[in-house]
Amino acid sequence: MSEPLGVGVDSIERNARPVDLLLKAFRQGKPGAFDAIVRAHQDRVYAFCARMLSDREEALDIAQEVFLSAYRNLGGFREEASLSTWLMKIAANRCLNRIRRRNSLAAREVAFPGPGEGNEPSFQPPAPEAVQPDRVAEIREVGKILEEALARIDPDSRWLLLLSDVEGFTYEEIASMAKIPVGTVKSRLHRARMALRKILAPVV
Amino acid sequence: MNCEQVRNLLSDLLDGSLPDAVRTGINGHLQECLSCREEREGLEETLLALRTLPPGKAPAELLERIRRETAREKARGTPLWKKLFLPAHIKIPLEAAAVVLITLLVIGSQNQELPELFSPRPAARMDAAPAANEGGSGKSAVPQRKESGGASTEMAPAPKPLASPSRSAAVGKRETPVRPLDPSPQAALPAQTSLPSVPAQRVSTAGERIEPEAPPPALALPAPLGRMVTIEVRAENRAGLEERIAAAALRLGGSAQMDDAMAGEMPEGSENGMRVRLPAASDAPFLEELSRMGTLPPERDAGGAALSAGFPPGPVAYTVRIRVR
Repeated sequence: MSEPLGVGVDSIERNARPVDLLLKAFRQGKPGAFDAIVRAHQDRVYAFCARMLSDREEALDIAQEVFLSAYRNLGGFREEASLSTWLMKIAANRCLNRIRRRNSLAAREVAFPGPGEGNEPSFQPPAPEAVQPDRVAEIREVGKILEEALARIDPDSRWLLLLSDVEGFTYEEIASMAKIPVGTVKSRLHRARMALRKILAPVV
Repeated sequence: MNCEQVRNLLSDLLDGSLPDAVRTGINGHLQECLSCREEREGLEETLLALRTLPPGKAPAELLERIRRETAREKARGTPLWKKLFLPAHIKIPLEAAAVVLITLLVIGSQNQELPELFSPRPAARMDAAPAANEGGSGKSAVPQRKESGGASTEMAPAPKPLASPSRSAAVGKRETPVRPLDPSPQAALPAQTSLPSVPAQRVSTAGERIEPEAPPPALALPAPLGRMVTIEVRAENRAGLEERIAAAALRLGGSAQMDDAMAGEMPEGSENGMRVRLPAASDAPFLEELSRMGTLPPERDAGGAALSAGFPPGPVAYTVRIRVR
């Protein structure tokens, strides 16, 4: 995974991560520094939110909240993780909260089997119309098929798949975000992949 | 290896994180098992699809909205408390100092020796006791010392350590002649904990003994019925005496009342009695009037008694006994 490019990289500090320079510039109160941080991370944050929520407006709201939260709290950011990890952690938490609120508002109980329940994959079986071969055949682009399939995965598995296999975060980074052991990340991720593979089986 | 074991390890196999021996075992199984091989290929294609998912593009609206909100927050300004306490290098030492201070205060408040640091030394406290009295309930003790004409106050050998509840009730009344000067409860508490139980001998530097104050004359004591006055008249002058006394009282701005209930209270030999209430200024003229009507005993000169609570300030009252010679 490559860090997003930032501004302010000079020859002397070539080895420093560009995000660190942006952060430094922001803390020094340089004008436009926060703009540069937003520009460097907005596509990634927005795409993650959009794939988590499957709703453009909600994704826009949450992405805005993520950056505003960062704006207020960057002073206390201790750089134990990279800025992108920190932002994606905020985004993941906010998306999961939004999904929970949405579910409670809809008063719909979606039951996902917990981990360790035999060999059954931990995902919601796809709705019949979503995996009908004739309908899937109509969807030309693989990306759209994937995103539809992702929307069928339970949110706790979805964000793992997005961060690991789409955004390229390491298992260790995800473990630090979720505050769970690396082994748990790996096992949950494997179940999520198998669930997605089952949804996509008619296509791939 | 069976199918279940192999399928559980497919992600690790594709990550390349398995030991050689395990990987060899899985590959051997996959060569023989078509179902597991298809599973592995399907998972590989899924991962490939995920990793090649086109990157998203944030709408330009997002940056505009963030700029607008951050500008609004900047205009609002950071609250002062946040400026002071948000940076960790300020907040953490301040919080640590606060914790230490609170701990010290809690320990100090539980330690009974701590007030000793701030209170006068035991030797000085003996002389300070009257002064401590002045601040609190000792207001009544100060005038008492003045009444005693500057005489020194020698305490009883074993003074009461604390003021009794009846002491506060005595405030405002006439003081009894000799009373130990008790320190106020607030001043007595630290003394109790720090002083040895040596009886205090002297609270004044004047070096004189306190002489018991003479009891006040009976006529000076307040009485509910006022001062008792006996008028002696001859038998021939007895008729209509009550009316004449009442007329004198009315003339002097007061009032008079015959009270049959007084019959039982009257001393032996008295025929009757009446109650008279007068303005303070009419006290002496009334006694003059009485002396013209009959003979008054010599204690009349003590003056009218001040009424206790219940009457407005100023008036004096008499209970006039009529005795026939």
